[in-house]
Amino acid sequence: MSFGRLVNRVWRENILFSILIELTYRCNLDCFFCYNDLNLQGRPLDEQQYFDLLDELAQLQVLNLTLSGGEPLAHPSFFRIGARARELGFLVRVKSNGHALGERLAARLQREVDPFVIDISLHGARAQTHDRQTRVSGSFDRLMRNLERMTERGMRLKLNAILTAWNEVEMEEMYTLADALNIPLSMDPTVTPRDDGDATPVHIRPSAEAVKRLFDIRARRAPERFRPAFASRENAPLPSAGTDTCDGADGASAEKHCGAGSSALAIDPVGNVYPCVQWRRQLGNLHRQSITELWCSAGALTPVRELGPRIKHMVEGLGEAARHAAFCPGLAELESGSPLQLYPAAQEKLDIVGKLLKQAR
Amino acid sequence: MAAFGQDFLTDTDLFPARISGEPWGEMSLILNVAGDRYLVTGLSRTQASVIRQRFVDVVFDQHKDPKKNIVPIRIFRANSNDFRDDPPRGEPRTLETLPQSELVQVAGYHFMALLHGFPTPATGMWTCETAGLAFRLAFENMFRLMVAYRLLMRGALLLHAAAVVSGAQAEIFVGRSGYGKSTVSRLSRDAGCTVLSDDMVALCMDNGELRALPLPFTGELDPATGMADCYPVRALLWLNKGNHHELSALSRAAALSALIVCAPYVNNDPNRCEQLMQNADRLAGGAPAYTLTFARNGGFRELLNQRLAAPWTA
Amino acid sequence: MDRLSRLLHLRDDVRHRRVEDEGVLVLQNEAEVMVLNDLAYRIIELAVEQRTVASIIAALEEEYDVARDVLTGDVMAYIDELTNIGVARLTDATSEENGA
Repeated sequence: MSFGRLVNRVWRENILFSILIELTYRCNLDCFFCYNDLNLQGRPLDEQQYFDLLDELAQLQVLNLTLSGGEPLAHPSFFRIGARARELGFLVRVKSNGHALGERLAARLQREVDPFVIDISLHGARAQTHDRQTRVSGSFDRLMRNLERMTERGMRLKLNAILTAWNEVEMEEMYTLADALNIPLSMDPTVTPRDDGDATPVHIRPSAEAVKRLFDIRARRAPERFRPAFASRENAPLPSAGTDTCDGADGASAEKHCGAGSSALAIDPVGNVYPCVQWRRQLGNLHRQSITELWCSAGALTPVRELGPRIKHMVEGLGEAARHAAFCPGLAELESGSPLQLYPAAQEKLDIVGKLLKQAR
Repeated sequence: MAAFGQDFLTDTDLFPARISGEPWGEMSLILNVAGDRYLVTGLSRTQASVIRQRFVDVVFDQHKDPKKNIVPIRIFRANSNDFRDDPPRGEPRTLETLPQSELVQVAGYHFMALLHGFPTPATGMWTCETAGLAFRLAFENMFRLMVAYRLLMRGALLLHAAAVVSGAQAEIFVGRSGYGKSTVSRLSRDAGCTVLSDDMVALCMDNGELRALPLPFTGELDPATGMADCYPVRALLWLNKGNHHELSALSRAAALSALIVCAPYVNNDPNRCEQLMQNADRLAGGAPAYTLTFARNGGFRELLNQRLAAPWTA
Repeated sequence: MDRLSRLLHLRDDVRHRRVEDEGVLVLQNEAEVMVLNDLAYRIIELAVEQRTVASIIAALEEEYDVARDVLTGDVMAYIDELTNIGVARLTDATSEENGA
């Protein structure tokens, strides 16, 4: 019984398995490309509502719980929510910028929440590049100190980086840095507009050449078993790791492109519910209905689920290269108004992988 | 060296770096102060009520000239655990600032604030207080600082000064705490003058004329009601307590220096030093400046009326 | 103390969830995932309730139409597997009550 097969089942049978909660949009950094809608209106969920939500999610068989933000540790109830999640047996992932995870908070996080992994954002291999993104001077140096200490404590860490025009020249250096820290690094070439549609971050999208270099690096670094058969040893992009939302492991056997809305949901600080963190099509609000009601009613989820096979067929129709283009219906809808429309970044990846395929033959 | 804010905050590493978070409510107000409209949003009903009560003379619920000089202040939630209950060392300090080129971080009793986006900064304030005196003090501490910066960026200054209106003109009594601002205010009021404030006033140049703008910030005396938006200034008076009355001319440099010394908040900001000097210099040249030595018997009013009656040119 | 009287205690870093008629066990420290069949996961669920091995077997006897000796054999074999790979351990009921 493989986990991949289980994930396929979860997708196929619409079993809610993963939840991402944006606890707060408060943040102790000010990243230029942050996608949060900082003008979000609404009443924040209170602590009891979060506890009730967690109880329901456990009843609904959700395993994966990601606490995100903003900076989730800035939420006043972060530790109580995290501890409760741990009590209820969730596999807790914390997405943090690491800026506040010095000795005291890191110890507390380990002691009270014991997350499965802490995803930490890295924006460059050098202070100048990283701080340029965070817009907080000294943030890189502090992060390096915090990462060393957390590693010494035996905390499970993962570095997440977005490839941008600002850091693309030091891409290789970032991998070297991660290796030296003994922390895995996942790099994504997709810079997205903000959730309110503001396209300002898109101005720092990486060059096509840099995206190709990233694919090369990922292929070189991928364990043999993850390299697609079509690609040469140098040119296979690694599937995204760690979640079931975007990557269903054996996704080919599920009649859906991804788990958004069929095995996963995202929730923002004021209780709006979305198919996933990137797909900001509002499905409901937890002030008006419970997560169970929302998940079990035909309502807003049906159109999203019905799109799943259509998106899959659309992507398959684009050819073999499309399997590695990481098409995101949420991003498509944000950039073009339709979850079925190919958007510029996806087209670019398609072109790059297409060329790699040709070269491999 | 102590980390910024550690007298007030339990975790300085979580200080917000951007104006974002979860609001306390959906209420909003406009505070019309010294020619600017401060749009305060994210308030709960009780918070809005506290501000309305405190700033009754300058608060509006709806925009007037909505496009004119709107300065945004957003109020966000924080938790009581974010803050220390009592500032250490027993000091009644109200706040601490960490000014940088693009922003100013502020930590105070049960609140944090960020002024961001110079030269026209917006403000975010995170507080755990929602009602009563506690919220009022937190908001007012932040608001005074915000007004000081806003005036600075407009070419004006917020001053620790008493402002008294005599015959439709303002006299500005400049001095730090304990120099006698409240005393001269009280004595002037007893002599029939109108006290704009015994603690804070705004000064600006308007069409070449130095003007005093009333502010809703006072010390020991209640502000007068029904004041005009501004008053031409007939003198800048540096206070000196003594046992006699004397008015001696103050050089422009000394007047400039006096204004800088009495410009709270912004005179601690090395990033705004040049702007402060420029403003103070321009304002110091807008009216005659004197050192006023005064005794507590109020007789200095006669001296002022005699000496300041003569026309003055810069 | 014989094994039937002992508590089956999961390791602190283990996370688990039922998915319909299967179960997922995640060993956080090793970042490993195990997918369990219904019976195996039911044992996990009962262990989380702080039951002795005997109590687990008794509960399963009511839920599964299997002879007691067969059920006992299967349960003990599975518990052996869990303890051998370090996912769980058998503890004295008394030591657990005293928070040991």
